[in-house]
Amino acid sequence: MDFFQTEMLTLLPRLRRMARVLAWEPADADDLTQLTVERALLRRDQWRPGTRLDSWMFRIMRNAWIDEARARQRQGRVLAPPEAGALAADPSAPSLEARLEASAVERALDALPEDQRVAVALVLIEGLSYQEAAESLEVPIGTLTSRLARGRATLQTALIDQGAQP
Amino acid sequence: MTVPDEEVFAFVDGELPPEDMARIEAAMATDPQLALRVETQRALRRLLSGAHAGVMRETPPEALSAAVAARPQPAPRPAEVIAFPGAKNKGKAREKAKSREPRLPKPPGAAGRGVPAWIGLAACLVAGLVVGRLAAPPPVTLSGGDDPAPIAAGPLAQALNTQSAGQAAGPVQVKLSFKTASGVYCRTFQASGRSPIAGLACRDPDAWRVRAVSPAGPGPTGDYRMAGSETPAAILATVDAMIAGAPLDAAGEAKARAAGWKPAPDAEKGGAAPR
Repeated sequence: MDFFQTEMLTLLPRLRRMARVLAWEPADADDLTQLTVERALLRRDQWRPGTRLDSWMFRIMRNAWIDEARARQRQGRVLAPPEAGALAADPSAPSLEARLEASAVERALDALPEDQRVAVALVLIEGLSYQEAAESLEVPIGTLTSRLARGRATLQTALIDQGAQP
Repeated sequence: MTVPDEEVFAFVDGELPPEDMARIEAAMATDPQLALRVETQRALRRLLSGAHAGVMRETPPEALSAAVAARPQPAPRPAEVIAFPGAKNKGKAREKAKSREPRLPKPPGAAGRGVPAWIGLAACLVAGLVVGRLAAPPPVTLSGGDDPAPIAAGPLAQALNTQSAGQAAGPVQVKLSFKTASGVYCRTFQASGRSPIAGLACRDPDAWRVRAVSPAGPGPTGDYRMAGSETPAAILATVDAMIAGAPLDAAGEAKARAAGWKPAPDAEKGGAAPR
């Protein structure tokens, strides 16, 4: 493996997390991650060293997702992450409260329209700057901040105003 | 002081210029309402930072790590074709063949970055066919001169000069012969080898020039492989873009060969078509 691949390997957990935001179902999310990795390897000459590999790969993932989603409509969303029960026996797993809380956040996030959900995830989960997130989504910054604001308002109503504590 | 929501968001996200960050910071001290709005957004950020955290703690599946570590396979992708510069109908042909990024760059030695591995193999094979089997092939053959399309030599030139289309013999097989609108003869060929290729060569006054190559035949692995019987779609698309009329039949080929493959503009089309 070269530098590019080593960097990509360290990004894998974050790529999988972003894929969950997009695809929700773990199997679909890992399929999406795999597709993203393959596309990134094919286009590695388009990545400019010195720029952020993560936002570059998020852009590839988002475009891959659009391609996939066009071909296959999302079907039968589940209401809770299927792995919630599987984690219970794991001593390193977070507390029950944390899991329930995380699930509430994840469900609220998943209920957002996709444009807002991705904007929220890139900035508030992945920590990208507005500029980087806008480039990942290939939209103007104003569009990004507008989606972010609407997503935030909905999440605030669903999570904060309903009494969920950070 | 009234602070719009967007500014509160940008403050929490650290996206304001330093003087505005300081201004909001100062205003929070005297404006409990503003302080509450900021704290609410900070709480939202903290909540979201835990979203899908489970997947961050897992070891990624082996299949994913393997995908990262894999070398991109030089799988034959029929939509890709190397279109060498200099083809008379190159613009049209390229467009029609949907040949995308992998074109041989003009300056010698600039190949490599981002060019699929099979192109290197194909280029070596072409270079070998171009210069024959004697010396180590100098890559400059592929890009030197005014017309950078490589000149066929060795077994490739021999096959193009003498072989009848569809006559399966030797390492190079000519598949199809046709004329362009300006009467130039072109022939598609396939070459067996470690990385079988198919290509298209057109006759200049003094030589066959290879206008396009594309991977052909069975999978990307294995040792010595015979070229598949099918000409890749990308080459056929290039043919479609250049061909005038029907492919040559055996009699047409024999006539052209007897005339040394000199351009033979159709009489009814009023002589040589302009370039």
